[in-house]
Amino acid sequence: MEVTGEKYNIRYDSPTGTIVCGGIMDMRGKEGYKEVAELFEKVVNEEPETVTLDIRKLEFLNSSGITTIGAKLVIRLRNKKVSKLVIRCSKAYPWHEKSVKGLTKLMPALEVKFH
Amino acid sequence: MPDKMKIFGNFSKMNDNKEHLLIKFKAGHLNIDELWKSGSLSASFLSSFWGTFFPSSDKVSKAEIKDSVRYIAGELIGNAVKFSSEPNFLIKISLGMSDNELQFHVTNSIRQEDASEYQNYIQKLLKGDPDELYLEQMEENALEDSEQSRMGFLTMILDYGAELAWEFEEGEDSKVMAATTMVRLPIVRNL
Repeated sequence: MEVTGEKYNIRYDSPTGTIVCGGIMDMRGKEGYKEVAELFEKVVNEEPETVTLDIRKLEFLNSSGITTIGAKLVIRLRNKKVSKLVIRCSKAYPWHEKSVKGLTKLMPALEVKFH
Repeated sequence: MPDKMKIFGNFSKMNDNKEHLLIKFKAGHLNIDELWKSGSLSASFLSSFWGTFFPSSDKVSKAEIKDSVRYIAGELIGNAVKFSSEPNFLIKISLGMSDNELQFHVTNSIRQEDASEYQNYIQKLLKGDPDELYLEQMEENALEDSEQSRMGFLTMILDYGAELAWEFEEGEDSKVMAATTMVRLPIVRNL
């Protein structure tokens, strides 16, 4: 499963439950993130044992993107209580640490790995 | 303060005598997607500029300044474009240094009727606990029927330690106001 935009790309590898995001995600509002939200929904419904969200190559994410990850992936997984969630971040982008802090509040069991 | 002006938070005007970058543009006849693209370019330019020429210190890295400016400028310009009601109104974004902070000022037009709803939200934001509002707002966004995400200002406050203030000014046409959003980004203390 894959979603590609002008400046970003998201791939989902079903056997490993891994979502890899890369590039710049600065789309406009909910409408701009529709396809991304749909991909997240499919992932949540597949109920993998562990979902890994790999944002190490994600250079930029606006507030609509943070909202899409928080509301459509993190909260949905938390409510379903089936899958574990791991977020893989990079120290190369200082915003990763800032934004992921908020997501952790939504799901305290969320595991964050820095590379 | 004139009757036709309303201030929220610790607002101060842009200081013309300090070093700053100022971008002015009209929404004109561009559609919202074209405006969004131009806004994204402006935010990226402001971020590259300040990221490159900002004096490095042991507390804040250039990469951090670049990241923060891009995020905040992008959100502010996005809001300005979203609320703008008058194609000929000059949308302004300025970013400058003042004492120990970076100051953003963004001015756009807003319909009087949208302004009152916006001001109610601003008051909620200034009075409330941002952590609680963040959780509340995210849960609301998880429901299908929520319209606006309203996470932009909250993430600026929580993730970037920004302080927000607003000025609303009535123009000749009483149905339209000029709204200026000010963001102070402290840069001396560790963010």
